[in-house]
Amino acid sequence: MHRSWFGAALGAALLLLALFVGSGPPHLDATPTPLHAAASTSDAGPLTGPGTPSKFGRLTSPRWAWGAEYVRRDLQPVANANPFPEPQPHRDHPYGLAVTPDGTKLYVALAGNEAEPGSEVAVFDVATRQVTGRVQVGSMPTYLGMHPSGAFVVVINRFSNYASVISTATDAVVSEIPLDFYCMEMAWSADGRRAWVSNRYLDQVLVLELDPDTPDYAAKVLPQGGFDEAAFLQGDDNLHTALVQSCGDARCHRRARGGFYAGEDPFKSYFSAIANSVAGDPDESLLLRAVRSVDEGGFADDRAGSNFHAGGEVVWRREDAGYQAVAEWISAARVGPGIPVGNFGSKPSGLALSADGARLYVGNQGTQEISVIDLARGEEVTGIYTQSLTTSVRVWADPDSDRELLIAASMGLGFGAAKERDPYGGETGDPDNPAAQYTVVRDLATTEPKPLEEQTVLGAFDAVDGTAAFKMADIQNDLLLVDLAHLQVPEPAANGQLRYALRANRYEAHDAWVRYTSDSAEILPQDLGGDIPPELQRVVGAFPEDVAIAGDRAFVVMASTSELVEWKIDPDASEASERLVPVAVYETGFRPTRAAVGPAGGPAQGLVFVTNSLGETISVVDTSTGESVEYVVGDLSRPFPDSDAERGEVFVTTSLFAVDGDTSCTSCHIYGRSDGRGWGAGQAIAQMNDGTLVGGGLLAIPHLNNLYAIQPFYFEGTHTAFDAQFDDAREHVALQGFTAPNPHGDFTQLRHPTPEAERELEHEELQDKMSTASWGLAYDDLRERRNALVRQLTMRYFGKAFAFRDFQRFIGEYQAAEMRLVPNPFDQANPSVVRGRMLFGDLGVGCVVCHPPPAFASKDEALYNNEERTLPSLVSFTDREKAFTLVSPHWMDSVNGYERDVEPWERGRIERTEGHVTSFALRGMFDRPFTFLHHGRALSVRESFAAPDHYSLRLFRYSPLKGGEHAREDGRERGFNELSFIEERTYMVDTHGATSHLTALQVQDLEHFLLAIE
Amino acid sequence: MKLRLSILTLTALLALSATAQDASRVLVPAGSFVMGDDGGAPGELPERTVAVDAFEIDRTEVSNADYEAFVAWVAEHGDAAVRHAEQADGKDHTPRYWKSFRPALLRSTGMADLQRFDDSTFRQPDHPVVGVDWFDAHAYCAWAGGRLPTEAEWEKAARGTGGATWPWGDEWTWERCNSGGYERAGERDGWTYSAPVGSYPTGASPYGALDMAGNVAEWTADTDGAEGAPAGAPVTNGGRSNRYPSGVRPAARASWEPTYRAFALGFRCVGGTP
Repeated sequence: MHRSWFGAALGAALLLLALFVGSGPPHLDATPTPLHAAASTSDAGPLTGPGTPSKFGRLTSPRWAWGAEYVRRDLQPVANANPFPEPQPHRDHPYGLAVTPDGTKLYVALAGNEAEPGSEVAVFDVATRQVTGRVQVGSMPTYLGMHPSGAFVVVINRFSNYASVISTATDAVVSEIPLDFYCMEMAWSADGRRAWVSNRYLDQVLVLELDPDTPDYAAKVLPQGGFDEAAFLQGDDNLHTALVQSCGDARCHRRARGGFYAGEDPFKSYFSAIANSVAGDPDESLLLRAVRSVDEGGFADDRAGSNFHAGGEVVWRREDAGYQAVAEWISAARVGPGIPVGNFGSKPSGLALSADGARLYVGNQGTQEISVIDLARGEEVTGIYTQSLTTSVRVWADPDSDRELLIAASMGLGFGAAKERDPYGGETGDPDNPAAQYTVVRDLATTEPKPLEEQTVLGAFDAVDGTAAFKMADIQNDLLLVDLAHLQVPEPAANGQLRYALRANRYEAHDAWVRYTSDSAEILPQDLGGDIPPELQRVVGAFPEDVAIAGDRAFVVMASTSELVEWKIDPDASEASERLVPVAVYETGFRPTRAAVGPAGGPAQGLVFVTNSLGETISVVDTSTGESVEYVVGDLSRPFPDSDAERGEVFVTTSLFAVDGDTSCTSCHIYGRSDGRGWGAGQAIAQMNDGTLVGGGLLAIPHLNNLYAIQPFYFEGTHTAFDAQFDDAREHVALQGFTAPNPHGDFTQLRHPTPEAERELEHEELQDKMSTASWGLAYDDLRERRNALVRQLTMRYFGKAFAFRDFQRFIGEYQAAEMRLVPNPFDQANPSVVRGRMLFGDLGVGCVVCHPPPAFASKDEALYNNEERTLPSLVSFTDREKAFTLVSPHWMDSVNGYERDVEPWERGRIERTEGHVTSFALRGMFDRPFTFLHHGRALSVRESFAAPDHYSLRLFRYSPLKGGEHAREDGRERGFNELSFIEERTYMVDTHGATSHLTALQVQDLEHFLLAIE
Repeated sequence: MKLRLSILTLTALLALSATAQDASRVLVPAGSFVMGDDGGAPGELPERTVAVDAFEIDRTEVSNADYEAFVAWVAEHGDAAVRHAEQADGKDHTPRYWKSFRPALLRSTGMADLQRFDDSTFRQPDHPVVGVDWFDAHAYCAWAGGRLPTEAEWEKAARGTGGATWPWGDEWTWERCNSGGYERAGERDGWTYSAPVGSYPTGASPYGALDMAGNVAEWTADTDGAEGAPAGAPVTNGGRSNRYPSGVRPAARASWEPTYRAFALGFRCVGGTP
């Protein structure tokens, strides 16, 4: 049926494969080293160090490879794929900060950016307000952890696998602490002898032991978990011997078969056993699932299934001694080298220790919970479900009692709130219901929608939305307060999954918890839902990035609006909603990032220090006078912003130009990545029976790195970033926000200077199909109002007036500068990664067809341009355009004479004849939340490419929730590949190569390679 | 002394309850009805036949004006005669939104001018009283000479005997109640938050009760809770002004801890056996 396009694709794939094998990125050029070769013994003994697997039950950096010695290392910035980027001024980008306990000095981490990471810490004298020096540290210093003694400050260097220790007496680095790459924050024990460090790429918290009494403050990581090597290899009746006897000698695994080896080579056997085991969970471990019966939860005798043990025989029953021995070995293992937190891809960052030192609270930036670690047990015991990532967590402790409050900063629930299903309204499956919504399959010849009787009733949305209307415009900013006395740790579920102690995914005020959101949550016409308690709409500013607590005050850095907001903490307020009250707002420099409160009794008393990452300054806020003064600590040898790319960066990363003051690109593409949720950003549309188009679906948020490779086509080709009428910037400065007064003022009296009689629509065909058509000629008035606001704001912030369309150039240059790809920390020589690389290029799997290197993305695919296709690609029709989506707006812009600064030769395309698929950009995907595919349905890397119910699919750590609903009934991963049917709820088909034939180990290998793509 | 006070209180109570009963109530005759919804959420399952005795129920939700009289009475007499046994001592029965609920910092900002609510939004005399907890509702109904309806009574009063989806029948129309949805295209029912009680006569239940779908959710006497609710949490029914059609079905239910208060949560009372 698909012969014509498949043939073409196959030819292209062969060509690409040749290119791939011959010219992959340099870091992937390692000679394939299969596990069996890498771990081979022979006369030389076992191979150790990088290139061998880790004993910690997960893919790691080379540091944790079996037998590896620690090697101090800095990751190198990723080269810009753009060969001719506009030169950018050097910037230092102040980030983390720490103030000495006596309040005399402030240390400021000069992080730089991804393209040009910094390696210095500035020392700021509080009394003179002068930078007194700079200290050389590791690469991209981002967090400063002041030791409780005040004797030294630990510098977390994100691109280095070590921390730098600066003596506060000498302001010199006195030692380095071997850690790992992508460490984020740290928390000290009260005695200063132990610390916990969150690690973004491992999804773990590392445990650090430190001796503050030694001259260099000697510290080391205490590795957690791992598989017991001695039990496997040593002694006469070790596990290796048992496995050889059971599976090697008597059975078939003297050689590797089915991904498992139990032959003579003990190390090879050891690594094979680890690769087939889930640390701590014998029931989930393939090693045991493969040999036990179906009635005991295995698949050894599952002859009806696609996988069963050779011969379909049950090898072991649970009571067998051999089984027991292996199960005990697996049970005793823990994933390491740190303490795992959250679901797959949790990306922990913020840390807060309880006053008694018993619990550590971890804010995750990849998944939607705050993890709770029981430090006595050394493991996560529960979580607080927040339905949005957490930027900062802090614990406020009452000095007069044992009462503690957790204060967490987060983004809003918005689209993705607890879904109120509406089977009697728009989600009905009954075609006779007047609220029924239908597909919008168009006749390719006429481009008009086909008759209603040829359409399908959509039924339930894939969306999750607890509000009365779609909240696409409701990008909000939240603070969550939890009274920790009420937080009871629930027992794990019967299947061993952790359970949430609290679901704080609603705007409600309780004795136990309160969740606040933006004061602007419902001020614009497109915001209004009437569904948020008015008393909880009190968060001033946008993007709460950090919280600093002192006394009964919490100071919240609002990064997108360049503000510091002071909140009063009143734990005993009779009204739960009054426990946090905003009392003051202070201006800061461009994009503040972190705050530190000056200690009492010294020169910094009453001061709050804030780093301004774009402003190259720190703000010193005097809370007694309200005065906020900026001091330069970075590089302002050129004023900021100084280039189109920097102006674009302001637009992308702040809300200064947002019509409601809330919105920025990075509100959803958080830190240039994703917020891990599906949003209505490019809604699949439905139509009512009168032809009215309405929103009916959602998409996952793509990451903003690697954009250069695919611009100007995003979202499978239908979404462009440049056009003033259709672009993403509409969300910032939506025309609808000018139909009524907005926070910037009342622009409603403003008219376009062109008389209505002389106005022309830019392109009538397109206009006719847009929602803006309903505005008629008033559309020009709205655009004029928007331009008036943009002129005002650019005059204020840039010192020069620009029009809205100028941002097309600014954003384009920001993308072209491409400073967002980050270096990959994983062991590129790990045998699993190497095997995965080969699988990726294998045409039997086919990944490389649509994700060819070096970009691992393609904007030239025509797979959907197939007139013979049996199923429509609904997602290509977007609500925002309500438009003739077979014509790219980019192309339309070209017709209208608007030229691009980036790739001006790219005129866009007509999807009807040129295809409209832009494949997902795989580079750097390890660093984004694990939501993938069109509607963000896949919640792990493995889910995105594995076939449904493949036996490699795993149990989630928590049963994943979407909008408070269980997204997986059984709490397990489900695959979304090779779907040849329309899914009941999402009406999507998905095919991403062929993976159903892979073994579980191969699935793991492929996943490891995807994570290792830089 | 204590006895004398109680008699005085009782006398006042009876006098006032007579006043309160002037607010129209509707009669729901004894008999069985279909409770629950097989097509609804797990907590609504299964549909079953339930018998209830005859009772009278308020035609509309208790309004701010009604409740103000109660607050005045409590200020004079205390709530000892009407309070629930588990209510905390010294409880303030003032609704949440009769007190300041907007931080001083924000009251004078441009943002405040654009917000769709102000200090008077939730205390207009003819609107349902909201921001009251289960103990407030219990005490009010006792003061008014009645009690909170059981969940079964409430649901029967709302949908009749035959298991209708909404009070008026099985066909949804936006104009029959104050519900949510499509605000961005303009409220179809005219109200973002609560509407004055009794604003939708075409949405009346078979017994003449109004606003049994939408407007505000209502406390009931039952404490068995919906699925996932905290132990002992009272039940609410009736949906809210911001709920979808499915959420304002009388069978739809939710539950909260007894001290929970919200801007779209009120109540009405029943008067016992007529």
